[in-house]
Amino acid sequence: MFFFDTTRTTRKVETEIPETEWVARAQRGDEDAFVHLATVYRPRIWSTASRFARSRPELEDLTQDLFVKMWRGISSYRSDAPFENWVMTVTVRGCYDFLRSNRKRRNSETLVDPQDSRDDPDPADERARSRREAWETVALLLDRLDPRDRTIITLLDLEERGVRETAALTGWSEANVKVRAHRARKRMRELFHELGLEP
Amino acid sequence: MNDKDPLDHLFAEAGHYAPFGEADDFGFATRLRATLASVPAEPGFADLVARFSWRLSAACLPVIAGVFLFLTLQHHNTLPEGVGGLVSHWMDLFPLGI
Repeated sequence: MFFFDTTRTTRKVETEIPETEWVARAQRGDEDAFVHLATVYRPRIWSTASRFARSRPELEDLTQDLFVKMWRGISSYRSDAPFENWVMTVTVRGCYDFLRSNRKRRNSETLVDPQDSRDDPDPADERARSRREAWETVALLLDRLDPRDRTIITLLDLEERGVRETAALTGWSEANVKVRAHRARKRMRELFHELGLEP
Repeated sequence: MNDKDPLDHLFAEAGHYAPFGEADDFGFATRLRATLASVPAEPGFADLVARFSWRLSAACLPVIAGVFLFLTLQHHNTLPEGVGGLVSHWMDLFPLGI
């Protein structure tokens, strides 16, 4: 009796095909190729988008919207730059649009979702708890910033990207990024003291 | 950067925290395919014309009224007197006998 391990065969074939070929196929409308690319880049997109969402369902919706934008716009991708750059550009600009379009709704909502606190992977872990608390404080401050400033601070200070990379991802000038980052940090320090968040 | 700045410490800590955990891979491809299937195709030129057609038809109304008024003024000497005369004159132009 024969037994074919189709999973292993598929994986082998997928790794043998270069990314440029997957992209070319997706540009020709191959949905399977696009789903493959989406699966590869999903962790990076999820990580960046998680800085802009307030709850897991909102994050799920945001990432789905980003994939739809990519599917619609993949024909506009030119292979003179790495595909990852294009993916992250669409992600960052999509997150910025999300912030702008949902600003009024978000302002009327509570800031911390209690469900997310309960979902902490290991509440007993002191390190994890410290990081979660730091994130909650940063999220509180970021929520009070202009969407553009929030995008810049997220990329520069949380994702530790450079000014040039941030400017390329957002489409804003390097000078604009520097000035806005400086003002946003100053505003965050003021809010930090106003809200009495000092330890 | 200033080492004593509390913001730098916060950024460093918060940057290592994944607020909503890792992405759930279960059923991701199926959900994405379903989403892509529900995405309408990009509208072409004909679709754009169709989308704006009702606005075009509304824009035609003042044009038609203007043409009607212009023709009426141009031929007011040859048109019969009074509203009744005008109505009967225009009714004659209908292909059906009323």
